[in-house]
Amino acid sequence: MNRFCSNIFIGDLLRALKRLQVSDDATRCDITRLLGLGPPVVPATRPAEPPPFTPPEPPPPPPLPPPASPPAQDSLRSQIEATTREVEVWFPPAPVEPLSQTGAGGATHEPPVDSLFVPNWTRAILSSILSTNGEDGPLDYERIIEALARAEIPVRLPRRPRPTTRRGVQLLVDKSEAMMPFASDQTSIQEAARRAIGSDNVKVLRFVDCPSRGVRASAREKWKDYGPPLPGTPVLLLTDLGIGRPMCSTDRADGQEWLGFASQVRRAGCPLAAFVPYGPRRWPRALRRAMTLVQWDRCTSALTIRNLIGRAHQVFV
Amino acid sequence: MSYTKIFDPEKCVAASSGDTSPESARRAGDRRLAALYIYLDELVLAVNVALATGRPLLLRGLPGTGKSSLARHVAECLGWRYYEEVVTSRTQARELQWRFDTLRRLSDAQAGVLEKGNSTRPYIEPGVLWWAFDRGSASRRGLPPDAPNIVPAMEQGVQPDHPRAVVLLDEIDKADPDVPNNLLVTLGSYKFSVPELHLEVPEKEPEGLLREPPLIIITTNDEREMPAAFLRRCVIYVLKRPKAEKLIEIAEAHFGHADKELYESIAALMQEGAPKDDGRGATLPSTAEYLDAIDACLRLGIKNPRAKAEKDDWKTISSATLWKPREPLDATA
Repeated sequence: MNRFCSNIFIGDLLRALKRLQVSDDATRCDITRLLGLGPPVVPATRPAEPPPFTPPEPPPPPPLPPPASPPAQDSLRSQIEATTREVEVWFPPAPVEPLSQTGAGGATHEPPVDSLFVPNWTRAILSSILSTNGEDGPLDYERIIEALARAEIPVRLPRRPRPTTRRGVQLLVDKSEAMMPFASDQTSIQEAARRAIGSDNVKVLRFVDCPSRGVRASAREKWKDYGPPLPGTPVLLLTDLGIGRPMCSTDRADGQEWLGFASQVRRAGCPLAAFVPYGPRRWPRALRRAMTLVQWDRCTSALTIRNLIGRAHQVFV
Repeated sequence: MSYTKIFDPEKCVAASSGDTSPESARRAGDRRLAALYIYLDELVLAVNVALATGRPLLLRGLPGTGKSSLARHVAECLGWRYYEEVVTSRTQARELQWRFDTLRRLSDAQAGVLEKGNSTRPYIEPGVLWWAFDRGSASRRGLPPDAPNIVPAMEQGVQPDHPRAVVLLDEIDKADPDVPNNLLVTLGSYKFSVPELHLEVPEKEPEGLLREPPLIIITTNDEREMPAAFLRRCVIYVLKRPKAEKLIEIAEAHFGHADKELYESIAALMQEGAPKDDGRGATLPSTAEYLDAIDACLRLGIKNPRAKAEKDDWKTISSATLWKPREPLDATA
């Protein structure tokens, strides 16, 4: 029965068709689709593709002028004009493809922008950075034996930590002007987090400059004071830590403000991490110990996170 | 659709069909009592494809669309054994195979009542997959065949003698992301080992009907994305919200044909009042809730909620309870 360890493929289709003795094409198509083997289905809501560009038919070549008997006074100029006309007849000017084509709704198709993380790695990166150590792994026999050897009865059986994402995440999204170039990445991280650990487990709050200045869940709400989540819940910042703002900006949150915020989160027993779209050389030195800083870039993988925090954030709740 | 059905709901072995007695109506919407299930042809085909290929059937769909109740009904139709496990955020893949009751063993060790030479087996608790793969060794905890059997509590109301089984792993999207991946080999090979007992499950290479794997039905509300490797190994079917005509058909199957006007009224009101998806997680009423609304109307003697006298009440009720929007607390104040 080990044949089933592999992915679904043609063998499964053959088994299904044989065992079910299918005798019509529609059912064959349905079975193929159920097994995920059919051609991709184009969603009905997808806008109609613009028709492929086809160059207009070249006009029929006009009849060649009859070879005129060269007059005695035939100039070099008239020879050049005749030759050019002949070339144009046989090689009509190539049609030029328009630079941009508009879709059915009149909107222009923007070129896709590469995401900051490698798309296939995003889920693993998020699962790693949002993992905390759940105290529900296998029994920690060493600690039990140690306790029993001291003639102590363990009140609670000690267990080895096991990474879990069930505590969810508080996602703090920096909406300041300097983060506008990364707005689509912020959105994709929110969506990826919801897919990875469940919508109910992701609480998104927006802030400008620093969360300690106030947060809100949506643009319709009023700003309110920041409050950390339940103890043990990871807090993930999507921010540039003010790096992208002009140095002379008076509104820019300084290191002390960020340190105060980090201290508030830490006191609440919540691990704090930040995805920063700038390289480590530009990170404020004072913040490196206050939170787990992750370069929001294609060089980051789940292994990078593991090297930073181990298998999971250590929380004590 | 023209094919030979391995599973045909019209030829049920055990499940009652067309039972519209008051008792049956009372149970409408309770997934644990699968007296009735209205199948779409595509769903029957999906079950048959899963049976023919030996692949798990992954059912996706919104809550209340009948994902969880399908497995039990299929088991009753086929006359097979049935096991279910509702997955939680704490569920680990191994718990679906077996559990080790460490606390009871520690307690017995302290009390000095451990059996000599048998200090592990009594504390092994087989999980749903062990029962489904090899009921014999699960009931004996791997002991020789002459050992006393332990009948699992989860086998109530099913046919324990049948060699094949249906297993429901409900709401797998609640588990940590590693759980589906950790199940890949077990659900692919229909084998696993119990290191504490030095035991392979199944104990011996199956023969005859036992060679056929159990039907594993897994449900997800899509609250989190399943790993791609897991999806590539499953037959996937999406249960969609039924349209008004189908809802009425389901209601007739549960409550009889006498109150068709009531069924139509409630179905129409549900369609009329359905909010547009604004991306804020407004939840539409499900089939289960539709059936419950009819049950409430029948019990309270409400024959037509669209009638003038009852319409105002209905507006209030529908806006208050049926759509269940998930507004932020601050926004609703």
